Amino acid sequence: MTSNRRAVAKYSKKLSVTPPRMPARDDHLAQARHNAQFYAAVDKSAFKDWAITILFYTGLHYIDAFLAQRANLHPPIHKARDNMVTTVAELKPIAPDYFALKNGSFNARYMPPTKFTDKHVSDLETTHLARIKTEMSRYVAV
Amino acid sequence: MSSSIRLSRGSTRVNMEHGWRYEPGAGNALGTLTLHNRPSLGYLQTEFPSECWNFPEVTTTVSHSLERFFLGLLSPDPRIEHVYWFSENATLKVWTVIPEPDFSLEGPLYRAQMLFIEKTGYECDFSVIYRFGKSMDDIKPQGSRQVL
Repeated sequence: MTSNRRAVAKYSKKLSVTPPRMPARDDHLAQARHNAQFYAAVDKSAFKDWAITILFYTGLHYIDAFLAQRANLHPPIHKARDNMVTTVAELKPIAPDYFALKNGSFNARYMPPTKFTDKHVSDLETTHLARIKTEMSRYVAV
Repeated sequence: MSSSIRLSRGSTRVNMEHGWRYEPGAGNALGTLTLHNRPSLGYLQTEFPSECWNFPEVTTTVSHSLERFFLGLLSPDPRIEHVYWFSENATLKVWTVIPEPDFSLEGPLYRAQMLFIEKTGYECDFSVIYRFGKSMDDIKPQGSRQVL
C-alpha cells in the first residue's frame, strides 16, 4: 500500500460515521405500550389535543414495528411513512385510520384553537387506533 | 439533457426532443417556458429544480391533476370547503379544509389521496384542516394556490 493510500485509509477510518442504530420491532412495540399507558393516565377531557397526539404516536409505533419486522424499514420522516402506508399492501386497509389519527394530531398541534369533542377522542381510540392495533396484531405481537 | 441547447449564458434554452423553449426573465424574474409537448413533472423537476413549480404550465398541470385525480374521485359535498396546494422542494403539499372532524367525509378524502399518489407518482403530503369556525383568512396556508 502506498503512503498516499495509507493516509486515505487512515483518514477515511477517522471520518467514518457510524449510523445510529434504528429501533427494532420490539423497541417500537415497547414505545407503543408506553404511549398507551400514558394515554390511560391523562385527563382526556381536559387535554383532548394531547390525548389525540398520544393516540397518533401509539398507532405510528405499531406501524413502525410492522415495517421494522417486515423489511427492516425505518421511515425517517412522516412523508416516507405516509408513502409506505399508502403503498404497502398490508397497511393499505388501515391507511384511512392512520390518516385520521395523523390529521387529528396535526390539527391539535398546529391549528389552535381546536374544538375536539370527547366523542371524537373516543372514536379515534376505539375505532381508528383499535383497527390499526387489530390489523398489526396479525403480523407482530402487539 | 443532451438535447438541450443553451445558446449563451442566461439566454434562451431550447429542447427539441421534449419540445420546450425557456426564455429567462430579467434579473431574478421568472422566465417564460413554452411547452409544445407537455413533459412530465418529474422531467421538469430535473431540468428546472428551483423554478419548476412556479411555471404557469406546471401550476396548471398540478391544479388540473388535483381536480381530476383527487376532487374528481369525490362526490360533490359542500362540507369540502377548499383545497389548497403548495410546493416545497420536491413535495406537493395539499390541504383540504372541512368544517370539523367527520370520518364519513374524511374516509373518502383519504382514499382519494391514496389514489392520487398512485396515479400521479408525485411526492405528496396531504392534510385535512378542521376549520372549527375560524375564518378562511386564519386557515389558508400562506403562498398556497387554491384548487377549490
